Amino acid sequence: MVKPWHEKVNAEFTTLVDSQNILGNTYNLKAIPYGIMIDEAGRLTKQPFSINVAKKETIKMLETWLSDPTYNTTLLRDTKPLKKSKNPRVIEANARFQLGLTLLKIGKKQEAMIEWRKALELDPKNWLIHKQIWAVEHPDKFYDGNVDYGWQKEQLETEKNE
Amino acid sequence: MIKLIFTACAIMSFAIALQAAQTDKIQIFIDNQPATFTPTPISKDDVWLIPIEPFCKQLGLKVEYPESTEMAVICGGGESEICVPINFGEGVFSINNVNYAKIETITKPFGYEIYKSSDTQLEVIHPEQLAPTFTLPDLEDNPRPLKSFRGKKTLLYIWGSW
Repeated sequence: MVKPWHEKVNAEFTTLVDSQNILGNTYNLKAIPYGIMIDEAGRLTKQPFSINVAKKETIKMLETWLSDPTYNTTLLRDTKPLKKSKNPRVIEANARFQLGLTLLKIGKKQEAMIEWRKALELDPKNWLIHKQIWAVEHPDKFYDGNVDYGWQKEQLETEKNE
Repeated sequence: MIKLIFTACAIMSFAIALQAAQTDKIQIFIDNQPATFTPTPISKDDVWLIPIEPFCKQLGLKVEYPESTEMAVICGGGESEICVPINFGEGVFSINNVNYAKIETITKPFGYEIYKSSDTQLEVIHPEQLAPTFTLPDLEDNPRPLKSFRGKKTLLYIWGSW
């Protein structure tokens, strides 16, 4: 997927592990995969965006960004600083999600689930929380080889009808 | 023998030419726009000094010279306004009746970052433009701050196994 622009810049990719939703918090993300473009000077070049590297347009845009310095300048003109949500429901949901991650880390799975369920009620469109609940409740659908997307679809239907 | 002397000379003149180019002129960018100053920045002992008043004006900072003191006080920084005193002789240099300072002396306290995009170009970057910073472990558990990727265009591709 990433090969064309990987070769173009001769880059070596680094993979970072985020077990405590640090990126979600820092960049106000509610779903993944997300793309964040940062230029040589450390500037946010574009608002974080839902990224699909299977799309030709996405690859083309990234290639243009790497090869054409004027494109970076053009993008910077429209970039606004990131703002945290001021919606109290979203703020509470994020806090409960974080608390749940800490509880899970210290082995309190059931307590974590209670916090995440409350969090999802407050912010139902937050897919990070939704999938976190699924992954802990049904690890077999997530961590045994392939992710079972068929199951996720069915699960969503079941939850809707409940 | 003659040939050897000639080669050595050629290299030296190249080195002198290179040094002259480095200290000849500098272009400063503020918010991606080329900025001009009257008087122009000067190079002293390989360091660029910038005229304090026009530079601060372009950054939206105020400069005052409190009576019976030997200092310049620079104030600004938006909502959380701060004032920074800089002493004459230490940070402020008076040359031909113009007050100069090192660029970093003015920018650092207010959170601006300086990015040297080439030998003759400096970019002054507003803190709001910078991508929010974080530190996460890589696969070998080494902490990797976002800043360690500075100098290259960086795409953060945030994904999960779900």
